[in-house]
Amino acid sequence: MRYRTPEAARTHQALLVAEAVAALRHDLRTRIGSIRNAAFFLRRKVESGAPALWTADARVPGFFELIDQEVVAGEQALASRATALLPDSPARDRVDVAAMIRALAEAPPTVALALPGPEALWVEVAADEIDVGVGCLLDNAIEAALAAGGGSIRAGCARRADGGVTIEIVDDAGGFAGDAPEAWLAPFASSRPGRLGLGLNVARRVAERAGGHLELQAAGRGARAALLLPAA
Amino acid sequence: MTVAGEPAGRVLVVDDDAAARQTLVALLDGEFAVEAAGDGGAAAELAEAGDFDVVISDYRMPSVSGIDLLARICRRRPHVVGILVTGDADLPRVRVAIHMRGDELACDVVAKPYDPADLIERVRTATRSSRARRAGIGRAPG
Repeated sequence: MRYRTPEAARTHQALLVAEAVAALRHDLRTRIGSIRNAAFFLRRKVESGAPALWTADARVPGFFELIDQEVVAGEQALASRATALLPDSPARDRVDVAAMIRALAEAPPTVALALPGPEALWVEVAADEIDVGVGCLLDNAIEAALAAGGGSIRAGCARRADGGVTIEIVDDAGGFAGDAPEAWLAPFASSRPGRLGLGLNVARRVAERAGGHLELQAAGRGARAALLLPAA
Repeated sequence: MTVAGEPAGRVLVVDDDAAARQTLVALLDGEFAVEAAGDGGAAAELAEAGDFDVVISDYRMPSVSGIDLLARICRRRPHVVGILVTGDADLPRVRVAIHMRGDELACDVVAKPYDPADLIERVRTATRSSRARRAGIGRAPG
């Protein structure tokens, strides 16, 4: 993947770690939730079905309390120790996103790229983060095209009626065909060797940190991925 | 608590994680009439065949998101109240997604790992709300 600045490469690393940690926390929370439910269920059963056991030894109710407190404390410890990898409010720059797309796009000869024209489209964003988001979408589309033996990709940007800007990457490679968009965002689920499977997740995080969102749709045999950025 | 004489609330639990699904069913079983599904397709079939007051769904599932599933069920059964359970670190993202659906679905959001007693109380509230919606839907406009 191309970066326009060394800082963008560092930002990409931070975004990847943030996504990986978020995915692991999600899985851990599900496990902790099941333990908590099971403990609550057992506590009710013992309390009502075996009152002698419940009252004869103070450790029985005490340990049920302990299970609940410890799993909650474990989750909270994870949350509080998750390093702040990215600033809450990154500095914003005035960026020509059309030029940015042209600079980031690079594909082998088997992949045809249609890029924005020379006219500038300015937007106020965290430049390094948007670089990474667009780079991830381009990378994803190019990888899909290569996996299909070639294809074409259209990368464009336009100002919407509400003043915001949409950056969209459309491919005809069929990389997502047959799957629901939810499956595209499953972390660590890349079918391509050596890939983390977090590119779309990173792009979504970038869009949301900018106050926008990521749209994913099947488009013919391929896919359309769009970063929708709000008006400044 | 369940009001004497009223039928138990009917609840559909949807989660692709078997342990999460089983423990949630165990939590609610007894006070509510609970059925469960492990994926969106099975859940949609159960919702079509059954008459649920409340659908509790995991937010992130492989084939369909919980929010899309709830929207689909609520289109067919507008009285249904949804409870979206998420382990997602970014709860605001889920709230924004619900907000973008407008009035399409009545939905509560609960973050994992939730307090089981709190969840039971939310299901009671959702059941009452669903029954009020059902009564309102059945009433002719004045």
